[in-house]
Amino acid sequence: MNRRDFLKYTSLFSIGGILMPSAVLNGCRKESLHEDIQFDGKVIIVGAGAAGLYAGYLLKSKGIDFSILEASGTHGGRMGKLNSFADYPIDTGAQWMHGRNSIIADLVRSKNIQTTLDESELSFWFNNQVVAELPKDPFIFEADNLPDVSFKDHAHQQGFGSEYDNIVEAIAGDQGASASTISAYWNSKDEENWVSGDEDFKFAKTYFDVIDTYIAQEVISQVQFNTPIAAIDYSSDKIILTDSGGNTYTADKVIVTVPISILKLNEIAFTPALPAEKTAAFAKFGMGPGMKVFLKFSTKFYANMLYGGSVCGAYADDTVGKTTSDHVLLAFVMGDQAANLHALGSDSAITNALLQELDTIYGGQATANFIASSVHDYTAKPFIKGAYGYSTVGMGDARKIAAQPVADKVFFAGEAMNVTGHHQTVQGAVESGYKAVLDIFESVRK
Amino acid sequence: MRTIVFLIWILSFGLTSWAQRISGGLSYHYFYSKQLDRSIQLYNFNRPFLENKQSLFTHGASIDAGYLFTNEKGWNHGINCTYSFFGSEGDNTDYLNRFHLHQINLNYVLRFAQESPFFGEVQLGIASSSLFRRVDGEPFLIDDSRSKSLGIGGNIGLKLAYSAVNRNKHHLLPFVYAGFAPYIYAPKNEAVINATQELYTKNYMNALHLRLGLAYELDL
Repeated sequence: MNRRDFLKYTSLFSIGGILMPSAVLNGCRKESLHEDIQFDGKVIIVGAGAAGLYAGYLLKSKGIDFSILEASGTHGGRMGKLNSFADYPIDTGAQWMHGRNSIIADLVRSKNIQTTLDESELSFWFNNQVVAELPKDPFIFEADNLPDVSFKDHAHQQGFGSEYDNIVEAIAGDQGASASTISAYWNSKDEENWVSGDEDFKFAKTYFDVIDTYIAQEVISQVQFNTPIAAIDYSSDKIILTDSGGNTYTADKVIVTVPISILKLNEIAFTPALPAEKTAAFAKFGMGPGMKVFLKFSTKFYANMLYGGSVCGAYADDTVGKTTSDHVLLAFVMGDQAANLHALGSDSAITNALLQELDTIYGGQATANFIASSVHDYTAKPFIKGAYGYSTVGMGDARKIAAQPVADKVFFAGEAMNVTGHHQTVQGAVESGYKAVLDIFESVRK
Repeated sequence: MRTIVFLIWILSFGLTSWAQRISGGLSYHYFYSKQLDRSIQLYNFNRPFLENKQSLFTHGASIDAGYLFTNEKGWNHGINCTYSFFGSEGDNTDYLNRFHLHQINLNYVLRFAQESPFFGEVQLGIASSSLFRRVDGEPFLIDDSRSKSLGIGGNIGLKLAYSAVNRNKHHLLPFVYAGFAPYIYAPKNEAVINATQELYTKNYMNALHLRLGLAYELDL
């Protein structure tokens, strides 16, 4: 073969070499993962919160047999709705959609669900005054190279005096934490992966309605309520789940979506016991007390958003983004402050403590204009026992370890198991739910 | 000063001892990146509420421009810049989602061409990528900033061409090109596509490029 022929044939082969691989590659390239998944086993999901519901929704879409065992009598987990308190429906749990870059935001866009950007100006109760600005900016917890100390200690190390303690408590409360236990370092590492954006949106109806209408109703027929799981035996091929009444359920794969507080307290007995590394990881999570109290007044005398109370770190006008003539103030109480209110023992005592503080801040207008309150104490809920999971001092890789499947049989989901920075959110819970399903499918493929 | 004089001398030598040629081209571009496929597959997997799936980055178009130093010994060299565009679309009722991938490759070109109308060239250079999202025809903004992922890496490719028309200084060349970018650091690709960070893909991608096109070259 001479050089001319060589080049000629090379060129012809090259053209073929483009068209053939293109055709072959295109044939192999699927638009979705696991389009042809072959799994005729049964999946049981423990918990009907956002993670469990979404995992079920996804399994249903793939034609997989599943059921959801929910400990309480309702679905939604730390989401809920209150219709009777005001002339608009109230989110008793999660209520802000955080950022516009998330799977939930895509759902919202695709369904034309009405949202409002919450642009409430933040005010502060500082040195016995309501002020729009502070002498020093206390939002110092998203910087690089923070030390592995608590928010409170870091603030003190940065020269913030005790007059800032309640402000810092409110900032920690936004993470569902106490300022004395959440880690400045590990929280900032978590935040590094946050890609959703910083804007907060509220729904014209409720966040609960979004999840309920488009996700929960797709799988509600598969939810068995009032079924708290007490034991999971994954020692043999079939996994045996036992509820608190002694009833058993059999599955091939299990997705555990219960709050991290339940796992920390070992309220589910695993056989064989979970690896020590995993239980140690559970223990490193923080999940403090949390409470939302809605206070209805005859007039609005309060700021749209106020940080710095000693009884409640953060107050927010709940009617922002709603069509209403009512005046409802949300007391968003987390961490030590929630523990203090929880210890008062009754809704009326909690309400009175908040009214006293508001009277101090707003010159007695709270009690004078008070109509009613609605207390939602998540610490008191037996199957939740707190707000949401956060990273404590010394957290390390605990979140990643906690989220790992065990023996390709037991999978973990829920907001705390989100390893991409979206924990503490509904979208984070949803992501963990679909990741668990993905992990199941990949375990089947092995 | 000596260095500058030396460089000017080298440049002068290069410009006077080698003829020069400029080139431009258009091509169909087949694209495959495992990591980008996985991000879109993940997007489609976990969004069953979207009736129509998001398409993969597969077919695109490229334009390129180059500058060659040629001589009669067969070995030519120069530089080449290629811009490529790929789209991914998911068209659902009231929700049109698009991802746009732009790539620019800047290559050193080494061409072997003798009397035959066929010739081959090796391209070696820098590959850059930028990925954007558009929703309902508008740039997708996060906190008032455009959602984007930028990437940078390397690229190697082989181009084979045929000088179909060769009149005076004008050359028309059908060509095929196969290239591979083994590593492009693009840590935000998954964040733009799936709104998660390293949930299912790493912070880099590699990419296979196959192109079929037509080039025009002009001797200066």
